[in-house]
Amino acid sequence: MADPVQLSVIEAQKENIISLPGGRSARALAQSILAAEDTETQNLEHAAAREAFENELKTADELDDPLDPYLRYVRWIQETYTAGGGRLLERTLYRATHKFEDSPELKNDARYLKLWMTWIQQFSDAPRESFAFLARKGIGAGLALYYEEFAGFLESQNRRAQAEEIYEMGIQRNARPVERLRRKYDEFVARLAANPPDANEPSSPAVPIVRAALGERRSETEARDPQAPAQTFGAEGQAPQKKKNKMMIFSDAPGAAAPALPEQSDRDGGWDSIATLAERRKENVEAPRPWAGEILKQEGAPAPKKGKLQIFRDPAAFQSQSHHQEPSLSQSGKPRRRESVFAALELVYMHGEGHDECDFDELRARSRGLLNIDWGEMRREDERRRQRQKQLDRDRAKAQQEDEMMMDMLGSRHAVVEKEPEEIPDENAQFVTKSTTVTLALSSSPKAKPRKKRRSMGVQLSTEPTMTMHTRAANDEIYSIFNQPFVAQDDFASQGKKQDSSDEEDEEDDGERTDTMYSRGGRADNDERTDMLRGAFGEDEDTGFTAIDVDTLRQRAQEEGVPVEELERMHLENQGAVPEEYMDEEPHTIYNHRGSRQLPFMTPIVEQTESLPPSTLRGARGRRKSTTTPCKPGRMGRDDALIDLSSPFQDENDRSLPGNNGKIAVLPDKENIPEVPSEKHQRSKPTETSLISFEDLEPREKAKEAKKPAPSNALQPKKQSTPSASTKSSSGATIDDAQCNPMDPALRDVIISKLSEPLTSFKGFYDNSSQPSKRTDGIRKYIRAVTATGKDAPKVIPSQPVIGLENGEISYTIRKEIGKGAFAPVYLAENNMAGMYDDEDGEEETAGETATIGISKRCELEAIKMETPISTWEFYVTRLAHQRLGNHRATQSLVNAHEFHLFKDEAFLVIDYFAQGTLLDLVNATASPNHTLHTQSGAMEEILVMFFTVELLRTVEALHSRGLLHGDLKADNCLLRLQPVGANGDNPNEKDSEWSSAYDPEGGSGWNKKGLVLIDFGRGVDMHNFRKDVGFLADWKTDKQDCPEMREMRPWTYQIDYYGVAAVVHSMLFGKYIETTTVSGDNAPGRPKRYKIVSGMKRYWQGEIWNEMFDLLLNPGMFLEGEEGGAMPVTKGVRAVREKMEGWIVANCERGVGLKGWLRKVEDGVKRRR
Amino acid sequence: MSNNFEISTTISDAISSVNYSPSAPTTLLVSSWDQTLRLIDTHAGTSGRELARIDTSAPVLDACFVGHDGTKAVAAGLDQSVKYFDLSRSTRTATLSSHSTAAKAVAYNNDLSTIISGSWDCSLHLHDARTASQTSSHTLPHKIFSLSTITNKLVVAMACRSIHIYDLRSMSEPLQRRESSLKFMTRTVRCMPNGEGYASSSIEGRVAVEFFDPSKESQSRKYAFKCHRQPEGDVDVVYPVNALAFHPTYGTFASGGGDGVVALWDGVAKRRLKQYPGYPASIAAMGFSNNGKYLAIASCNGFEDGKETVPNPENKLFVREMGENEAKPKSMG
Repeated sequence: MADPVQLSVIEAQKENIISLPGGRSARALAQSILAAEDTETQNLEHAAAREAFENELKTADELDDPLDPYLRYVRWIQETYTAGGGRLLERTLYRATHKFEDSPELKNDARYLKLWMTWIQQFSDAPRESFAFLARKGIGAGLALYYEEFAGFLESQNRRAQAEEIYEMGIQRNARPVERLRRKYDEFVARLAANPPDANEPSSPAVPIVRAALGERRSETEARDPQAPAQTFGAEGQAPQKKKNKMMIFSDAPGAAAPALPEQSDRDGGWDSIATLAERRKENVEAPRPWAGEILKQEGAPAPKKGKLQIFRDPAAFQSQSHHQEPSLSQSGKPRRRESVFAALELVYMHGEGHDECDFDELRARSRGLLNIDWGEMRREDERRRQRQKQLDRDRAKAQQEDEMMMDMLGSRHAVVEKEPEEIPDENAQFVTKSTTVTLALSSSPKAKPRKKRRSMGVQLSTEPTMTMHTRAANDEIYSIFNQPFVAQDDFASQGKKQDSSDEEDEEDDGERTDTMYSRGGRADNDERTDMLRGAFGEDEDTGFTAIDVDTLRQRAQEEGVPVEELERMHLENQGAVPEEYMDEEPHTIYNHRGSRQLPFMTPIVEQTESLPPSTLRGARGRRKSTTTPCKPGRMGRDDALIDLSSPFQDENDRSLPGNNGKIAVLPDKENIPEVPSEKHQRSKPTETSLISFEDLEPREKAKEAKKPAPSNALQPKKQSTPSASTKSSSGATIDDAQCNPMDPALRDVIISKLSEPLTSFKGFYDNSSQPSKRTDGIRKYIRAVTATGKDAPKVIPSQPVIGLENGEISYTIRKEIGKGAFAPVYLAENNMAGMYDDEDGEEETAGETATIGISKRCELEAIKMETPISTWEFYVTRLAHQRLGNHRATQSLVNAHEFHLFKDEAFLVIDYFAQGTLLDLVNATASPNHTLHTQSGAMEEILVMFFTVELLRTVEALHSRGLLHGDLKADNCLLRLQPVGANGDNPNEKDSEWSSAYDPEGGSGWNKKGLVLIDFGRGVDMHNFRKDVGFLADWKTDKQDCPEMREMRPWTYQIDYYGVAAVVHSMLFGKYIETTTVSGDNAPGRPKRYKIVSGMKRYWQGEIWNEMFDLLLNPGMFLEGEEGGAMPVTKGVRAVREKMEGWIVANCERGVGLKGWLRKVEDGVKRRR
Repeated sequence: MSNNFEISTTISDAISSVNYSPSAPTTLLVSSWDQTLRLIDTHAGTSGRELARIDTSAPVLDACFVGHDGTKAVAAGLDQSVKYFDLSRSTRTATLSSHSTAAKAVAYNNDLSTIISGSWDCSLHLHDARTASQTSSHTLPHKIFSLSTITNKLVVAMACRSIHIYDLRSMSEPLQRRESSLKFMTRTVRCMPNGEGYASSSIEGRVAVEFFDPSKESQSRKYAFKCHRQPEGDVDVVYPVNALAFHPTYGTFASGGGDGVVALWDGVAKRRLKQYPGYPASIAAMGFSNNGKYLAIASCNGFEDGKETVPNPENKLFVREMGENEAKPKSMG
């Protein structure tokens, strides 16, 4: 006795078991399920079993019961494949059923019929037809099973009338066992009585009567069954069609009959066989043919070349008045684009087709109600209106007069100032019409509620509200009463000015008037600012006075006709007045302000307190004209020493100028200044103050250091002389993580917070982070307005917005948008103060403070990048790069960050503007057929590419050697820097005269003026902040433009730039984005992958050099031998490649057009582009 | 390369026509919906200077110089009148005639000293410029949209795509009655300077070039082409071609569309010579100076889409200084 079957095995699998009509053997099931666990042996066993069955089937014809092997085979399949036999079962059933369909012995064999039923139930795609087929063949005609099944099927299809017919037919034929059939019929009748059939049920005969098709062709020799239907599509005997008919008639290829099908003849009129649906639809399937000699159809033949001007030849009459989508009339073969007519056709054709259209002018007149009016009456009305207008004008003039009189009487600015806040809601970006243009600063000059102190200060040159302004304000109010258009305002404004100038009687008036010229923007005061007036006030006073140097005074004097001495005297008076000011201040205010200061990316407050004083002092020194501060050695000269420091901005100044620290003690005394810790307030302060109590501070400083367990060197103020290592934290890095994401803002904050010299003290860093700026909206509005065309164009194109910063000391006129990133739009701006910087710089130099590194001469046109989200990082890294590189030639290839204006809600980074566009533009220009720079290949000339590559490599090499990563190298971050060469560079004739056509890798003969500029250091990384063995991980989604390490989630460092360079060079060389692949055969497991570019070099290129370069840049990790310390960066390797390139350029630069020629072409080309 | 600059004006409504003086290459006559006629020296200073401004009592729909000295002008107004001005004195001198609805177009034929005006009331009035008086009136089948005259020919573009060509010396019957080759409303028509034919534009981004000569071979030269379409997504937006201007010497012509684009065409070679995109609004009118060096371009709301804001904010006048060979047809080398 065998063991009992474990039903649990079956239980677990039961959803995978197809039920069989006769049930299944539990033992067989359990066996097959258990066996299924060992698939491999199972497969082998099954294959063997199948083979045995197949062999048996081959000889089945010789058996007494040929059906038997089929039955066993089918049963075996059903038992073995508990989830259904699938194709195997279908095929076997098909073979079994069709083999014997004409065998008279088996017609009434119940086993055979059961095979049929299984097949019909499981595989037939048209069961009813299959039943009909069986009926025609007479299979099962004597078996009750057939009738039961057929009737059951019909009943399930709601064809009960037909089912009844079948039952009756079975009973009539006495199909055995007739008793069972009768019983089933009775049950059926009972069901039918319970649920009478619907009249809609089909009542056609269950087994269709086969009729001869009308058009059937009958061969004379062949007597056909008169009932044979027409659907015999040819047969073996039929001769192949000789000529091509219009309609291809499908015919089976001779001998192509499925081998599984038994021999058949068509004598049964199409009912000789029933096969699968696919078999019956075979005429729709193209038979497989050999490929040889086939012609593949191309997708859409190329359209015939058209002339540029398409000739319209369609004389067809206008069809429908309102269809905006017109039917195709183009002659060219290509499908026409859909068109939509801009004009309002429904208005134009408002009178309907065939009637006169309405002109746009008529529509306009109609819409304005001018079309059907009595013009005579109109004229009279017009006259009346004019009268009224005159009256109105008179009234207004009168009102204005009165107002002015009142003003004179009051003689006080307060009265009017009060009104001001109502007047301009958004002053930050003020749009000034050109006619009136005095530039407006958006300043923080406080006009409202002047403090008492003010009085004592005498005349404030640049910040005092003036009579003029008041008058205008008053006027504005009048306007608001009359609701006049703004044009009038200008008139009045100038009127006001005239009046003002007419009554210049005393000094005071002069002074004030001067003021108007320069600080008209002051008018545009922020309402929001009034709440922090105190701070703003202090700041404002200081700035107001420092901003004016003698030259400016002189200039003004000339403009105003005021004696210079006068202005100077006033200026000095101011200076004198300031110290008194501070003495008056109450100390307690500072703490409030401290508390409220939230610098988003700055240090925690404590640290800031420490760092603030030096910064402010430095700022004061940096910006002040005639300062008494002792000169300190410039940072510039020192950068070599700085290079190796992990924190670059750390500075010896702290030591050499103890006053920096000392100032902390002083601060409380004057911290009314509060909101802005920048240098500005300090400017006017005499330096003495800062020297007061250094000693006081010393202990504090020490205590603080003691508190810090692992002070980073960035925090060590006096470490300059003792190089970094000694004081470094355990790993010597600010960030001690072995792996991190260097772009992580939090991490950057930490780095910035640990700078020895806070960002706020950087020259050009303007921290207004407590104030909202709200300048962006105005700029955006303007940009939208100028770029919009057609219907999108706004009603008024505002004139170019002027953004003023720092009390109007700095102001820019926004010209246009030059770059539009998702986050940081870049605008071209006119530096309205460009002229003033020269003096300043000059003076600084004489004062011994060499112009801060990287601050080159300012230009008239600069770019302003909106840093959104606000980040000081780019500014910091840009400055850092300049400082680290110092006088290295590559410094020229780094963009300058001139100023950074930090506000609460936005930040502006002022950088150099290079008009020649990016490398990407150049690549695109080269690829675009209409451009002058277009080349046949669509890619740049090799020597040009190599030239730019050398520039790029040199810059990256320099950055890397000083521990900096750019982090975002791509073609659109490389600007062309093709500057004129020679002293007479501006003169077109002299242009480039000193530029030799022989390439000088050292930058001589003018070659240093040509090159690239890297921009966008927003993703820059300072490796000195990290451990030596750091590996970075990118948390962003990577793509093909990211280096393989990133893509494969491996740590990376310098690779990011190397890959970036490779990508840039690739896009120049091939005109498409880089794609890399691993070198085949070299990626055995465990070995590092070696990458190469996918594109192939042109035969005539310097393939060797290029390949070497790509190999190095894509696989820097494989070239570490020979590098310093055997680690990244592979500076030496890069240099070697670069020198090779330089060598080649030197040798080939004068061939053909020559490198100089190509560069000039580029220069001209990009010029034209604009 | 051409230099484009904006003329600063105080025009406060849509501009309806710009015409350079036949005598002075920098004097421009501008008519506007703001009920003014202005004479502007486009090259005074950096952005032009207004020489004279004549206020009329109604929006001016068209204007042109009369005579060859550039001192007289005629204007067609929405107030149905055709007015004759002496520009040197900045005063209106006469109302030549009155239509029964707005006068839409005026033209002056120098050869015959005839001022022609057309109106939406389907009438065409002819006036003698020397006597400043109306000489005849003709009724046409449709509203008149645009007039252009050269030598003794007058081309009248009307509603229902109807175009009549008259011999000004015998106005009783048109020389030819034609149907526009364009499927949509004719917007403007301008005669070729050589007197051989004319170009007409439709509101559906097409320009047709046709010839007067009725002979079959001449007629087979006529053609039309598509222009002023801007792709927006997968649809081309088709703008009206509002303005046409022939270069006086080269015979090339400029078309200005509702898309704010001016294109320069070589009608003989059937080539586009240049395209000047980026005008702030629909091009309403254009005119070449008599020496062909300057192209005045008026850009303002064209009411094509039946929308405008009142008052129209952007009514800009530009002058494009043509480079030496800029407007030169390719065929001339």
